Amino acid sequence: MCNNKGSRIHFPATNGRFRGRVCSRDIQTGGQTELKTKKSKKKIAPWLFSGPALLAYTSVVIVPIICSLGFSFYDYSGVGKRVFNGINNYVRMFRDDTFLIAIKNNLLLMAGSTAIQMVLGLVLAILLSNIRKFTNVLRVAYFVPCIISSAAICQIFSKMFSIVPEGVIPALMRLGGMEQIAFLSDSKWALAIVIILDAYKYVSMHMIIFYSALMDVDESVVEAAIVDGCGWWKLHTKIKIPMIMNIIVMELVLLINGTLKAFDISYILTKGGPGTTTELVVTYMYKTSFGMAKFGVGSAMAVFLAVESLAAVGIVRYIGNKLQRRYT
Amino acid sequence: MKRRTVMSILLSFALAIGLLAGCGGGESADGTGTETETEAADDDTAAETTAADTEAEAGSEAAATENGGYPTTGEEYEIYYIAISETGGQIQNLLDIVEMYKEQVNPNFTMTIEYITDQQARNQKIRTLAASNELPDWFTCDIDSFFNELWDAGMVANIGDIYDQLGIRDNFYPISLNYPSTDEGEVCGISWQSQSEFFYYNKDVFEAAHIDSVPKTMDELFEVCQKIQETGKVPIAMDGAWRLLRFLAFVPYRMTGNEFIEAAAAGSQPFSSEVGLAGAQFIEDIGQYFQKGWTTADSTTVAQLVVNGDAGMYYSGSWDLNIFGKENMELLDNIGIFTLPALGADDATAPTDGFYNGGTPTVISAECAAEEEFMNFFRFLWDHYNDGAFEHGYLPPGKPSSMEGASELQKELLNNYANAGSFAKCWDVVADVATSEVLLNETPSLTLGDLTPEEWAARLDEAIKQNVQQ
Repeated sequence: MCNNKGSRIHFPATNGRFRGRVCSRDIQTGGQTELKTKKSKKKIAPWLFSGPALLAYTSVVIVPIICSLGFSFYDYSGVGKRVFNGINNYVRMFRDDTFLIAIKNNLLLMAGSTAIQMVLGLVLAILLSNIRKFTNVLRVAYFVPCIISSAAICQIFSKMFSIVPEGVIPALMRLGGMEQIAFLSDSKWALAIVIILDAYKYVSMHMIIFYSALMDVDESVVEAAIVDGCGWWKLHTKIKIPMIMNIIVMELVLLINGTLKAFDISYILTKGGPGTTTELVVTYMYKTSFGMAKFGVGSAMAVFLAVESLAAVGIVRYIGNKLQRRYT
Repeated sequence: MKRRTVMSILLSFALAIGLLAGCGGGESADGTGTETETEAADDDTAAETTAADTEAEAGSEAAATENGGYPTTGEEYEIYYIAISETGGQIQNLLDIVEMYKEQVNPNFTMTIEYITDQQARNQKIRTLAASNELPDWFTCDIDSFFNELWDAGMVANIGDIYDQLGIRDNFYPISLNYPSTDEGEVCGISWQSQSEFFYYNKDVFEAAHIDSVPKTMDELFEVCQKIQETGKVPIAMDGAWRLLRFLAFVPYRMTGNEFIEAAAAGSQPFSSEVGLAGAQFIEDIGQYFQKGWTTADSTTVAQLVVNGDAGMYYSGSWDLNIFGKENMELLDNIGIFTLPALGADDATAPTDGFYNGGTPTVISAECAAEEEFMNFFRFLWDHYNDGAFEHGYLPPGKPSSMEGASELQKELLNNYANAGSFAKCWDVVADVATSEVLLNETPSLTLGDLTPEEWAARLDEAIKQNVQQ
């Protein structure tokens, strides 16, 4: 037997389960060079696979963020020279009442749309996972809004909500003896409609993710719970949902990040109006940059959005990790 | 192991090639311009059409020549034009002239037109293209503060100089030259029409509301609105576009002419002044007479409300005669018109003064204007354009060789346009582009009662402070 201390070796073939000490003499006698080569190859392979994606990601995400950061310190209208103006764009941005309204609207949209999509997505997924027949048909039916373009959805709903000519919803209100409401022109309703449509468009995508996670729950655990007398409600609330907590946290991150960057529904349906009622950070950033030709202030808003998203994701991950530790 | 490494390299290359292919442009390699195409653009409000199908004859020679009495290089030449609408008579006239030019002068000429009806979307696209130094050859653009930057940078052509070169300046009516001009009086855009703005009204709706005469003053306008509302009809049909800013300008224009908006846009008079607040109060009061859901309504739909007798009045202009007129360009039997009501005896403007303009101007890039074939086409265009106007149902920006084909109404409107003393300036054009966005955003809130006139004025004053005074 070899008495020296030897080196700690990780055996990949055992998927990391076996770690042992190998005699240095054994290594020196031929294994060392081969191991080193294998190690270096193993280091290159992941980079080769992820390289192209990383390159694309860097060029379309990282570089624009850095460019936006640079632009945000300049006064630039798109024509002529850029003039360095320090942090003035950030000062202007935070003094702009419309921008502050946009942040407030965005937070409301984030809370409302995320809540609807999480709850409705989960409920639909649970219902689907309990249905034995026609699940494919239902899944496709639920998924349709997700594959229709935002422009088409907005057109459909703007016609449905239209007072002149009378759309389906005002017509139903009239038939029901109610006073017609111009939902998209009424400042009390417009943001709520945008939130509902945003949730409607994307809820099916989250439903599919939840459904996949629920179908992945170990059948033996479910059977054991049923044998132990666990009912339908407890099976879902005490077993299935805690078991997919990692997916729920991931979904929360995706939803919060997505809703903070929401643009299409609000811009196409109401253009941020009436007034500033449905103005969101991204719609206002777009208007500031390309409508008002203030690319510097628009870039400052883009930087704010990136920081806001990162902060939100950080908070969600922190809370999510705590939840996961609690349930797993 | 070796095989796995080779596989990983191959996969990486495949991924990289896939990515590059995905990022590659989809531009056609066919640069001959020998196709007719109509493609939907990503924006719903935009559609791209190759206006002139370039069935270029293979044997056409690319040498400088003279066809049909007009000079031409004979070479392939394309003009890319961002325009407003494909349905107006002016664009149809232009397309007809392009066809004539191809038939008579240069078969290799092409005009590719992208239509963007939405004003904000169109401006955004042009500003984006300008920022990337890719201005279209021709584009529809208000003479606003952003245009002035293009002008100062020498990126757009002096249209007045081109008119002078061709000797056609005197053919235009004064407003057609003055409206698309810089502050220094240089003609920098093309007017395609002679436009007079006024109210269309439905005579049957007025009669049912026992209204005997059209309103001559703003007070009478409110009385008329009230009477129509009592019959259950919509008094004023409204959409959510530029029209609202006209209503906002009515009272200040009558009180001061263009003095208030010019001073307010320059930051020397606040919107919270007496004149500004009077304008804001007017629009807040008149807003209750618009139909429900007006902020998201489109202009064609609301115009039909008046034609059908569901609404009483609609503020528009001569360009909408194709909706409110017959085929002979006289008004429909149940439709009448009246001009901007006066405020009172102390008005700074004459009762006949109002909004006259040449429509949103078309601007030409300096690069395009320097091309020989552009000048050849431009000469041909203006030799035919004014004469084709009546046939296409609109009023020409310049004097036609004959008034044949014009209706009595068109003759009257053209006469008013030719002899108008002054014209009201559009607020969204006079204000800088950033303040104009605030105007467009905040004025609907004022009209809906979500903002008080004082709050609206405070927001506008803050915008002026941020955008002009700093």
